[in-house]
Amino acid sequence: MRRIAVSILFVAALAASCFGQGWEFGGSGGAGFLSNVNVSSPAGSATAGFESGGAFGGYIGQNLYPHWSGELHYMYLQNDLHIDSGGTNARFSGNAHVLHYDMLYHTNRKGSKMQAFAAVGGGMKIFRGTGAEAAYQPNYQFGYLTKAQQLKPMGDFGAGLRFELKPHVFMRLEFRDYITPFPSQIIAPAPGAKYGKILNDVVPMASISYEK
Amino acid sequence: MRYYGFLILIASSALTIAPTPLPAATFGTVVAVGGQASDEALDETRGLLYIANFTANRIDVMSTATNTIQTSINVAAQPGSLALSRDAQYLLVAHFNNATPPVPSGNLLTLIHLSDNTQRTFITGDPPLGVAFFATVPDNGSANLSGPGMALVVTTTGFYTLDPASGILQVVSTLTNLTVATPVPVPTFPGQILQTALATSGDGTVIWGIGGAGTGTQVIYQYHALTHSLYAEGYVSSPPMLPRVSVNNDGSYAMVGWILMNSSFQTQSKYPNVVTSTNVTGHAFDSAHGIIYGQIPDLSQPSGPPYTASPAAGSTSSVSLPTLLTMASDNLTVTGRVYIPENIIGRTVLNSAGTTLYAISDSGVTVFPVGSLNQAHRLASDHEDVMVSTTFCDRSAVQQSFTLSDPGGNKTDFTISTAQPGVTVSPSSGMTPATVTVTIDPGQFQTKGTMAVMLNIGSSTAVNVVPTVRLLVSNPDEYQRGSVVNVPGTLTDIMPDQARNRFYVLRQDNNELEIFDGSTNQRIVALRTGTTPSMMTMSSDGNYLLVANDNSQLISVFDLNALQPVSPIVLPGGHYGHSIAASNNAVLVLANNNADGTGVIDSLNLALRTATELPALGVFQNKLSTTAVLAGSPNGNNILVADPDGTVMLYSAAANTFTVARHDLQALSGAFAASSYNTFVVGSNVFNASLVPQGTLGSSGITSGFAFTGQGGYQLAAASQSTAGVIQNLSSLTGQQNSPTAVVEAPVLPTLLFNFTRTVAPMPSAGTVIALTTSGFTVLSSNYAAATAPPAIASVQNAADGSTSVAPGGLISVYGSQLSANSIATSQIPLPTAMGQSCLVVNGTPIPLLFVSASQVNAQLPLNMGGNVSMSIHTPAGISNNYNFVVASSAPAVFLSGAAGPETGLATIFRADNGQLVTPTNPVHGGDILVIYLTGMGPTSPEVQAGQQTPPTLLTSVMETPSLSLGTSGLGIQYAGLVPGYISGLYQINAVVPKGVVAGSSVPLVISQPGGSTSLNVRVVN
Repeated sequence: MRRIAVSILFVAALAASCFGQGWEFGGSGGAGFLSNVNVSSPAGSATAGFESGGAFGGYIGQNLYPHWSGELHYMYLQNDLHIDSGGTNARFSGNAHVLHYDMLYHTNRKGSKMQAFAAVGGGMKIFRGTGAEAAYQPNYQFGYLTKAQQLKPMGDFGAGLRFELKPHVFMRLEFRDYITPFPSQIIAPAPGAKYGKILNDVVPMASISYEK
Repeated sequence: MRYYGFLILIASSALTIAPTPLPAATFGTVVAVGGQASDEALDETRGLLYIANFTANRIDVMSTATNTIQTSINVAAQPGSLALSRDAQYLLVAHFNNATPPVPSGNLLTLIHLSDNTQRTFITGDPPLGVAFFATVPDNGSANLSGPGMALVVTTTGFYTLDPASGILQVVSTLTNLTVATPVPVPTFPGQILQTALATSGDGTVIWGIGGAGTGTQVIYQYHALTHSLYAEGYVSSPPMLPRVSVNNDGSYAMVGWILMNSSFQTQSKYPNVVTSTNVTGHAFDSAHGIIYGQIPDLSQPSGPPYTASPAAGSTSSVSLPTLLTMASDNLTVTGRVYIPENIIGRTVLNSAGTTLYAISDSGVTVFPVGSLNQAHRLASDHEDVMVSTTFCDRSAVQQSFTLSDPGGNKTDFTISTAQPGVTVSPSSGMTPATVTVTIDPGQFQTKGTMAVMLNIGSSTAVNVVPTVRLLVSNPDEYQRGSVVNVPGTLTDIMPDQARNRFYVLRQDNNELEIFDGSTNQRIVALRTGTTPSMMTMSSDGNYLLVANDNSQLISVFDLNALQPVSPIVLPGGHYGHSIAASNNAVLVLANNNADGTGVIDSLNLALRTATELPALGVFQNKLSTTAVLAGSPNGNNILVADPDGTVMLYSAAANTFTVARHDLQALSGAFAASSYNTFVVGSNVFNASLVPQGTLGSSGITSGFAFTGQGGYQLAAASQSTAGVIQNLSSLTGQQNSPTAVVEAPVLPTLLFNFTRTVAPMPSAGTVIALTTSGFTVLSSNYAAATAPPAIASVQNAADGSTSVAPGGLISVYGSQLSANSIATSQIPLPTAMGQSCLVVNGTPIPLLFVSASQVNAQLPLNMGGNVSMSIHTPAGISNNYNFVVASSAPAVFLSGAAGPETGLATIFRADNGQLVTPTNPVHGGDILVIYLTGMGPTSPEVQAGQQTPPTLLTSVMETPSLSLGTSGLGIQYAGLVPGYISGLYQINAVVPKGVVAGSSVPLVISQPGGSTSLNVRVVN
């Protein structure tokens, strides 16, 4: 948790230092939809992953060139852990923190009322299991939902539209796909179980930003 | 009213062995009023108790702070009844004054306004007998609980209401003359003169009352304030109920005389073994705690003063001090008795906090601070029975311990004595808490069976009646078969449930149905029955168990799948079930019909929960002895009726009527059973389908039980209660005996008052036969008579993890063949050294046992043992060859007996954080405290001997200090010693996991001692 706090402080400091240089500050809200991974084990097959959940965060962007900008994003995602097999479900509270830097290409030049944009970037994602552990967990033969946290490198891409609501104030509708390796310390494979490697977290969101 | 042979037998046995020591201490403070108190009213607002002094013509006012009479209010003559208004503003006094010659003007009510002590009087004409206030209820409203309420006034001829504010007296109903006239002969008590009592429910909405008490027909009534309705019912009881009424909080139940009734006037419970008394009775509900306090006359209560330290000459009472009972408010199970200074002879009132009881008593009023009972000296034993077993392989002296304590934690003196040679008790006197050790010299016990010896426990300061501890000395010979399982109490019936591999036992003295597992013979649960359960039956679909209760109008019904009681069935008024049997058609109950004292057959409708008296038994009169019994055939085709007078009858389910009745024999008693092959057994007599006697079975004395297993069955008999039982498995019903085999102890036998007994339950599902016997029940292998091979030991293992490393004081498992005829586990502490006729001998010394079966025995090694040792096992079939093994100084091993969901065999390592087993889904975290249960850690300081329980407050430490590691990290040890409160072979380690411990899915946890070590893999997360 202390690591997260440091990251947020870093974003705030960066924002303060860049103020007055054609910067954009925004807040975002949306939802995260994660892919599941297939699990195969001697006990049968299952799916494991994270439940969909709310997402919110913020970003700070710098207009670098007429069509290019750079943005630093932080997102908090509420995503419970699960392992499902047949009609049996195991659930465990969880969440994640995402910090990434994206390069955005804008279709129209700066000053247009509406812009379409595409983004690509990378960063890190911290997965956290926060539930109450118990001696017995359903589907334990496939994996263990664990109270722990695990940091994973992350790549992302996305796209969106940006509308000017009034001078200096913009609304953005966009999505990101956060791509990480599967966090195998949070959902730990049981002996003999084989898990998919990659996890996609598609996060559609709406943002309000102020540009100076 | 009847009473019970078993109870009487036990009571008289106790008397003949030694008189119960009498205490010097009593509970409660007597406040003498200088006259004869007839009623009382508690004014909690002012801290006063008003006492009607019937003969001194005044109301004595007692301070409840000082328990002294402060003042008196002079009133008109003969204040017989008192009632305080709901708001404590008015005290209403009824003046009886039914003099000869009549003085109509003397029959009046006095209404005292307590704020200024002004009095108003109201002439009633007829003598007023009783008064009680109820909450006023408007026609369309709820009860006014804060106002004064109105009074219900009962006179010799009618019911009236009195509004204390307006003084208006209105007629509610009339009745026939209820009372007697004065002057009366000496001694006659106010209750005998008035013959009436009323009491109001705690919420003020219902008044219960009794009129004509103490005579033949009595009137019991309820006045419902919510509906302004009066309900009454005539009642005849023997002995008659005295005029005492107490009501629970909502008026749904009332204790009237010695009978607990529900709002439909049905007898929920009768106090068992009540005896006639002219004045002794008094009780009060404590609805908040589900109990009733009271004194009800029975053989243990003196009829009157003087109350001396020894029973009066010729007295039938076993004590000469009265006792206050604490009873369960549903079935009057007595849960406690305390000695009180004098008899309760009138109204008893409990204050609203439930802490102080005020009772009209011989001298006036006795105050019982029941809320402070814990501060009074009392004695209690942690055992009802203390069982000491010897075996043919060990005739040396054996010991067993029990604990005497004061439930309130006081230091209370005690003495223990017994007149039985060969029994020594140490200490025989002292102060609580104390562990008392009973030592038996088997040489002094010539009886080869079980002898019950009463340990008489007394105290000069304890106020309670200390339940007698029954010492059971089991001293069987090797030819006697079976394993005894101790079940305290009076057991009256047993029934097998093959489908569920259970058996059911009725414990009459505690009003319980006890349910046992057929495989382990351990009790699963005890369920409450009605009062004095006598016999039971299973419904034809096998889903319900029905219990007839000798002292309740209710038939208790239990759902056997849910193991829960369900709605009872109410027998017709005045009927009390004694025996019950089910067929494919009717469920029949043999009930005691109180109206004429005969036995009658009622038919139950289980679906509708109704019961009706059969008008006739086919062409025969419905009239039997009250102690007759019913036996249903296993296929549900017939129900046999056996009467002690020799009559037998047969109900046919197909014809739905009684098809046979005969009286060929002069008397019947003992075993009774019906087969599915139209044959029947009563005593040792065999009857055919027409109930014509076919001869007698070869039996060894008095028959105790018979259970059909086809055309034949198991018969259990004994020459007397002091001899061993004899069982035989008869393949056919002939006079030929079939391998009669001695049982380890005597079976329950019939008595003069309990003529018929059912004591055998074959359990084919478990391969056993269960028999009710002296100590509880005896488990016999179904092939008990077969010759068995000598036992053989194949291996000795650590009981925790099956390793071959064992240590002194550790729990071990011995594997082999023919180790025991039965599978028996024990909960007895200290552990016995013989179980199921098996004993395990190490280096010549029998060692404590926990479990025996044919292939496995669990035991505990003594502390004074090490190096190479030799073990053998002794059974009736012989002695095994010696098995040699090594006992290390320590051999730690974690129990692999944990379970989580479907996973079993888990190591008993717990995370203190959540109290759950460590598993991959509950991994070890850095900073966790682990609690590990294990055995084999060797001697401790202080030492607790093998077979003993580690005292609950004792912390010990193992002599060989262990070290623990998890991966590369060492663990801090907070505690390593015996588990307090458990058998001394069970050890516990509390260890702290350091932060930063290396994570992994399978990290070795190693526990090391100088003598040995053990390792288990656990998942660790950081």
